[in-house]
Amino acid sequence: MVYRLRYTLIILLFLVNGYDLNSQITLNDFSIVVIGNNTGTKKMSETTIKQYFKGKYNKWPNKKRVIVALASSKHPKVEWYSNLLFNKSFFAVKKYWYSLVFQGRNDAPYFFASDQELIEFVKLNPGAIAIVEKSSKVPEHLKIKLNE
Amino acid sequence: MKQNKNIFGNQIVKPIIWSFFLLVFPNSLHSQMSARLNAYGHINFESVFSDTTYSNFSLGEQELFINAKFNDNFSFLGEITLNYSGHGNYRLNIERLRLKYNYYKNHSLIIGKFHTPVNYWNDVYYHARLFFPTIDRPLMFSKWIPVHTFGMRLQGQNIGKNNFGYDLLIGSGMGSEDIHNVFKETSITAAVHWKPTDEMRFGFSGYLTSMDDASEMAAHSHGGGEHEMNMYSGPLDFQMLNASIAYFGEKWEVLNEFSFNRTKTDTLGVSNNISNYTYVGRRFLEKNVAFTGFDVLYTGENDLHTYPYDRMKFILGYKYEYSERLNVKAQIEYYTNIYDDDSHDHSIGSKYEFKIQMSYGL
Repeated sequence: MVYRLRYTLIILLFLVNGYDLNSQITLNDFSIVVIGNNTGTKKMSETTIKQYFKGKYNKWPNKKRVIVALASSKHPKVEWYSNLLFNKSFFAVKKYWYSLVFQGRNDAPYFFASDQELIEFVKLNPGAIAIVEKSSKVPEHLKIKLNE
Repeated sequence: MKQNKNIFGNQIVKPIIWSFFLLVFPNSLHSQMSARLNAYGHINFESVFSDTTYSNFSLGEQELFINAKFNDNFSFLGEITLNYSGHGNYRLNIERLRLKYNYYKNHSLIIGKFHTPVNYWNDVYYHARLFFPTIDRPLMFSKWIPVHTFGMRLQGQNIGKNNFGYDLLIGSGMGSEDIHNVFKETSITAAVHWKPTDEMRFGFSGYLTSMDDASEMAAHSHGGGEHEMNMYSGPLDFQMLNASIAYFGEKWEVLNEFSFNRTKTDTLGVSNNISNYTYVGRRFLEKNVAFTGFDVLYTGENDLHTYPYDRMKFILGYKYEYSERLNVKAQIEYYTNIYDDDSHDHSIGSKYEFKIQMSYGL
């Protein structure tokens, strides 16, 4: 009876967690740069930076409000960026954020159609973060380095 | 003679709320404000097959949602619904209206009217059917879940690596109204949750209140399919424990809501009541979800809060998401009693229901 229960629990855990066992794609593996304006940090772990994009934190270490900027459906790399940051499709990312805002837990993110628009938005808004391709012209002072 | 069941009394709660408001608001007067307005709603079709058979097409709850930021720390959230009240009339309800002060990292102080975070459903879905996994709320919502609380709340979320969260509330009781005698009865809610992954959340909560008149259940107006009026107007003590398990992954979706409560009256003594709702969904081709559910509720023979009642509900359904703002659900439900013998004279028979719901957000 105990063994049967144990096997049942293992199977249940696999069913529930099985899809999370695949290691997530890392930002360091790709030609991506994380940009932020007046976030109070120039270096951050990839895990932590992804948590900021997921709305886990409301404020930066310097107490500035976190403003998330994401690629919109018109951005040519939207699915790639969504997968890199959230390990989800853009459809799932929109659902995730739509629900969080309705719950009153986070402010809505801003969506942009190109890397240039993302860079301009981050440049103008203290506390804003985004990811763009390294090939985009990014001012050095906006870059946040990943330390893992 | 009616007893005064107010746990803290107006003399303490009201000055705290006003002090909080005066402390926070002056800093916000000179700041720029950003606001966001959304609308949600749904349209229902249902066919009921029991002793009598009928079909109904109805305009469901329509709502406005306002989210505004006064400054980096201070925000406002409002949710107002419009419901059909009969004879061509509609009724406006304030479902959430809260001022939130984010005082330290992910810790906040909230005052106003909000959904009591006793379980995952009430803390995440609120009134927009767009987010509901099934068409109706669990049965426990029609009997004893205190949907709203007006009061003061300490909230923490995503704390530490394991994303712990907590809520501590002091506010109105189940019978309190929003305008008159808000703190005539007081309730205390303590809830904790843990999110080991982005998709998973475990929660546990306790809720405590006492009421002078158990028939006044203003916070009980959210049916999970079946709802009855309470005729007992005497005092009653109510204690409740809830546990939630939620997993909404890429392929599988699981939600289990467990609720146990204990009511006590001088007339009939203690009654233990229990309910459990289970939902399992399988997502395929990204926007399609096939789901099933099982809902069960039992109240004791000597319960004077919701009266003796036993019910089971089986659900089989399908959801298609056109976009993150529009979906259609169709489900077949079968209701029956747990006990189908003469020892329970509150049997209300079996029935089938077929429902279609289109829900949207703008």
